[in-house]
Amino acid sequence: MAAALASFGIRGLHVLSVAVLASGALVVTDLLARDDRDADAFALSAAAAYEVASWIALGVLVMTGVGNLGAIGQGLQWAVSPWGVVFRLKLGAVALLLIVSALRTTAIAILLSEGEVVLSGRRRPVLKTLYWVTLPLALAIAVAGVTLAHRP
Amino acid sequence: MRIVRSPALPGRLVGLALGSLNAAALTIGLVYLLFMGKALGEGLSNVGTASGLALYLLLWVSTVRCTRRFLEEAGLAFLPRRRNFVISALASGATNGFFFAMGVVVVLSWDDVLAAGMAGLVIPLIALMFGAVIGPTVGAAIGLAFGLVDAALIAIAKRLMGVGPVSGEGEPIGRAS
Repeated sequence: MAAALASFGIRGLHVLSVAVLASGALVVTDLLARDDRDADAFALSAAAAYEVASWIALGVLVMTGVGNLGAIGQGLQWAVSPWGVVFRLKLGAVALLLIVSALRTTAIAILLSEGEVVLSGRRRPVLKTLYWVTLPLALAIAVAGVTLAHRP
Repeated sequence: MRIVRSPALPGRLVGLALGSLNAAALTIGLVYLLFMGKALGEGLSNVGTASGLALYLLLWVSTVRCTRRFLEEAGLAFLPRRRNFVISALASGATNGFFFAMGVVVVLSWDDVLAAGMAGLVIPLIALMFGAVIGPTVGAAIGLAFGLVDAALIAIAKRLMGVGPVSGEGEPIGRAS
């Protein structure tokens, strides 16, 4: 009973972390897409808050992901099986999301260090792209996770 | 419009991001290698869920702290440079490796020590001595590799934001050049 509850909790946290990643990226992308200089300070504040939440979510995603694998234990399939291919694709998507997220957070930190909210020139489209790319990557991880959980 | 925030916030954000990235990348790399070597299932079964979660939390917290210190010392976190890049990366990696090795021994031997009492302390103490040597050595090498990755990511982010190359000579990054 305790093991089943722990497994349920770990899976729940795993899904919740992807939900935080995807929904937050959607909100910040929308804020940046408004192209309103008066709203830039709010957009940057929201982005900074999202960055903290997203790294906590990413850490929980990896931690609970390994926990889920541990629950399968010796039943893990081979790398060449369909399950193994999806699993490797998921690992690749997570790695890509980590790199995109690091670039995104550092870009926001650079803007914060300048003190001025100047999303002029290429800064707004670059930030929008970084947040937009986060969304499909998070969704791909979610789809891969569901596939792995339901494939025998 | 000027926004007022803690001056330490940008450095802390980058420290959290790159520290979390380093811990996650190390874990994912290890998982991938074990999976391809067909040893993942057995390895994770031996560690157990609670111990595995505790070890990842330990690695995560320790790596974020050490990465933040490295970024500050190497002048990559909006502060003037205080130490050589290579020495900072090696020192931070070695510190992280030491704490993680100690944590691994404590977490994995906890149940045995509780069950066997003082007699169960012999093997963990020997493991701690080996860990005190191996942990910092391996950690320093990994720290240097991840230090280079961190510096490269900061350089790319600076280019994307149009603020020039990474400062290595004590100028805070982020100032428009």
